[in-house]
Parts: sequence; C-alpha cells; structure tokens
Amino acid sequence: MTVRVNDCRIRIFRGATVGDVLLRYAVRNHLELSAVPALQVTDRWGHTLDHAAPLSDKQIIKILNI
Amino acid sequence: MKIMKKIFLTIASALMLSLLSIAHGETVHILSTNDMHAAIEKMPKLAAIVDSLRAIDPGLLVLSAGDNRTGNPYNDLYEPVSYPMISMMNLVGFDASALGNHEYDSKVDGLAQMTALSNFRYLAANITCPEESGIKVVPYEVFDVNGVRVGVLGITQVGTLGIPDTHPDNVKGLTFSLPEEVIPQYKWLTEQCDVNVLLTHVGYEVDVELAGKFPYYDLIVSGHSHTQLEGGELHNGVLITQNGYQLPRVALTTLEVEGGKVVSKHTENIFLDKVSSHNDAADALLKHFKNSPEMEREIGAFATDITTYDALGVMMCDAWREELGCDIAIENYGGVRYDVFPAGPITVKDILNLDPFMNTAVVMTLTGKELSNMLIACFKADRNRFPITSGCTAAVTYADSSKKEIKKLELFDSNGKKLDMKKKYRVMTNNYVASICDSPRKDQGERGTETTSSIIISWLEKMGTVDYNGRRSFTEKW
Repeated sequence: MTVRVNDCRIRIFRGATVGDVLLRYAVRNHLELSAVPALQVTDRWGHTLDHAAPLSDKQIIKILNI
Repeated sequence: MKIMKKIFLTIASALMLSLLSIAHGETVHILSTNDMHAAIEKMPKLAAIVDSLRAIDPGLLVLSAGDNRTGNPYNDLYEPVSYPMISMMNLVGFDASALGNHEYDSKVDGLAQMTALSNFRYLAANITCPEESGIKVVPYEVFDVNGVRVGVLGITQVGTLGIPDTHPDNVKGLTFSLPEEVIPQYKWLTEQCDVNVLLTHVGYEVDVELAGKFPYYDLIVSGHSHTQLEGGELHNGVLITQNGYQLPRVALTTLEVEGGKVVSKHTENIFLDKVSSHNDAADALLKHFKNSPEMEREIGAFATDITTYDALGVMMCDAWREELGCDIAIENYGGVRYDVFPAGPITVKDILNLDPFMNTAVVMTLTGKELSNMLIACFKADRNRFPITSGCTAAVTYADSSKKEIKKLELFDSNGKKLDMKKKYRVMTNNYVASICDSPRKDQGERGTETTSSIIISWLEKMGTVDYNGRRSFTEKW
C-alpha cells in the first residue's frame, strides 16, 4: 500500500501503522531512528494520531514537528 | 484530589442540569471508549468515572467501539485469552461493544470464548456467524434509558479483502458485509427508537462517509483509526466521537430528547490522566492479573549457557521461520536484547524481555537479489550491524576494518549452496525490520497480528530443550 507523509509517497507493507511508516520515512530522509517516537502526527484534517494507529492505502498523514 | 473533585463537580453539574431539563423532555448520557487495546492499568480509573456518573444518572450507557484487546501481554497471553480485560469491562459495567478487527486475533474459538465470558453484548450487523461457531453477537440492542428507547446498531470493520484487518485464518467460516449495504436494512429500527446510535469499528474517515449517507443516526461512537477528536464532531448533523488509543480520554455524550426526537446533543471528553480516584475492586483485579503466574511459566530450556547476541538471534529467527512456514527469517542485530542467558529453564517473561517491542510478523515473497538488497539495507539502517538470519547464512566482506561498508555479500542455503538470486523465497521478518529496510522489492508483504514474542513462545513450547550456544548466521572479513 502507499501512504503519503508530508510530501513523500511511501510504499510499505499492508497492515502498516503510523509508527511503521514513520520509520520508513526517517530512513528515507536520513533522520535518526531514535527521533521517531517523538514525532507528532495528524491525519489530513489535523486530528492527532498515535503511532499504533492503523493505516490504509492512499491515506495521507502529516508530521507536525519536523 | 482538588483537580479530581473539580472534574467531577463539573461533570456532576452538567448532569444535574441536564436531569433538571426532564420537565421538557428526557436526557440520555452515553460514556464511550474505543481502541482500549488491553489497557488494564487504566481500568480502575475508568471504573471510578463510571461509578461517579452512574451515581448521578443510573441510566448511563457505557459503550466500547471495539479493539478491547491486543496490546498488553498481561492480557493477551492470559488463559482464557483476554480474560483480564473482559473481567475489568464486566466490573466497569459496559453495556455493549462493537467487534474490532483485533477481537478476531485468537480465531473463532477465542472470540467465542471471549463473548461467553462477557456480561455485555457484542453488536455487529454486518457479520454472519454459523451457530456452531459459538460466537455470541447480535446486530443491535435497544436500551430503555429513563423511558427513552435507545437503539444501538453495531458495525465491524471490513477491509479490502472483504474481511476485517486480520489473518484470514482468524475469521474462517465467518462472512462479512459492507457497512453501507447493511445499515439501510435497519432503517426500520431507527423509526422505532427515540435515539439512534451507530457503534462502529470502521475508522474516522469511513464514519464521516456513513454520517453523510445515513443522517437519521444521532451519534456514531467510532473506533479503529485511533483518531483523537476534541469532543464530538458534527458531520451532516451526526455527532461522531473517538478518542485515540489505550484510553487517553473517554467521551461523555449528552442527548436531550423531546417528543421522541433528539433536540440537542454534545460531547465532552474526560481526560483519564487528570482523574486520581480508583475503583478499589478494579485495583484488586489489576493487582491479581499483574501477578499472573503465566509470566513465570516455564516454556522450554537452554541446554547450555548462551553467551552471544548472535546465538539468541538465530534462535529467534529459527522460531519465526519454522512457526510461520517460511524459507528465511531476518532479525536486526539491535532487536536482540540479551547476550547472556544461563543454561536452564526459559519462562514467558524471559521471552518478553528478549523480544519486548510488541512487534508482529511481516511475511513477503522476495527473490534472492531482493533479499540480498534487503539485508544490506538492514545493515545500513541498524547502525552498520549485519542482521541475523535463519534458513540462509551470509559471508560478509567489508570494504575495510571500520566495517561501515559492505563490499561483497554472498548468501548460502542450509546445504551451503549459493542462494539463487532469481529464485523466490518466502521471507519473514518483524514490522520494525520491514520498515527500516528501504530496499527495492516488488512485494512489501503483509503485517500479521500475532506478536513475534508469542511466536517464539509457541515454538519453544514444542521444542522443549534447545541448544544454541556458539551459533552464528554470518561470517565477516575485510
């Protein structure tokens, strides 16, 4: 499935959570993996999502503190 | 204590004011949760909140939008499965729960057992269970709240495969329908009730769509997407509530009813971290479950002392590969949390400490070349540490003694024969490794629901005594 994180399209395994996608995003953007737990994420309407939140294909999420 | 008193005085005042309005109509209060994911530690606080609210309004309805379980080994490894959470929900006095996709994690038998142990109803209109499954679920329930008829229709999540997001084996024999096909079949129910509630586990985005299509519902108690709403949100006149993951807040919805219709409605969230009082009985139950003898249960033994991360990593990978019927399994070096383990018994707690991240398995089909790329990507992402494998071994040649760059990687099967770079292999790893390995591959795989630690526990229970001292899955040179 594909998830959009900020301006980055990420193809990842089905059943991935917000936390999984953030890890892939961090690797792709050369961020420290240890910084991932502190990332604050919202859905496209601005509602906060936790890192265990399930994602679906074509979902859009935004990282606030990056 | 002052903050606590203030919170309850505020809630109590709101409830008293709404009760005084009975002169003009009736008031219904609904306290709702979602995605509690076995947060048994929060249940004494939740029980105290419900006790306080029911002291003011005995008609308070308490609803869960599903995914009550999965997320806490004290609950998920308990026998009978999920009994800690269910007994806490029984004590709190839940009236009904939706079926979340994780309610199916222990297959049909596990769900049947859970529904039998629950003192509340499970509601799902879009599931068909054969009688012999033993699952106790009904499409809807009508509650009489202070003389008001409150109809609650349950909806379970259905993913792209036509089943909830769980392993297909977990829902064998069950059939599911799409929410938008089923909900219109119950319009008659909404005409017979004064207040109409959809209790769903389909995610916020789908709930907004449902609100657009079915405006004759007053409230959607929503779950699945772990969306944190600030109180209730109105969409097409339908109020939607949802509160994150593992009970950060609970939603208290007040509906004023006049002449058989809801004339006003609003939701306020109660923050659990601001509540200091506990229900004593729930506290005692929590203490009991946290001292569960299950954690000290011996599941196997090491024949000899273990003295390296490699040895324990190979054991973990062997367990995953064999239990899931894969050709190859991969664990990142940093994912192995012990390097020393004495010969002797291994307990459930030992495995939870060895693999403590609540990761789950990801299974994918890779060519030998894609596998090689993935191992190199794992090395780079895991601070230049080569991953541990089962089902294949590796000869790693670094560019120099700093071991920061792999110059050559050769992979061999269990017979010592070079791995075919074009052949396809069924490969298992955990969601962490699958996420950090950003290498080109056609199949990204699928994440399962069973934790990798519970897979190791199941494997050790079959294996009994194992001997891994000195085992490695790769050689290094430069």
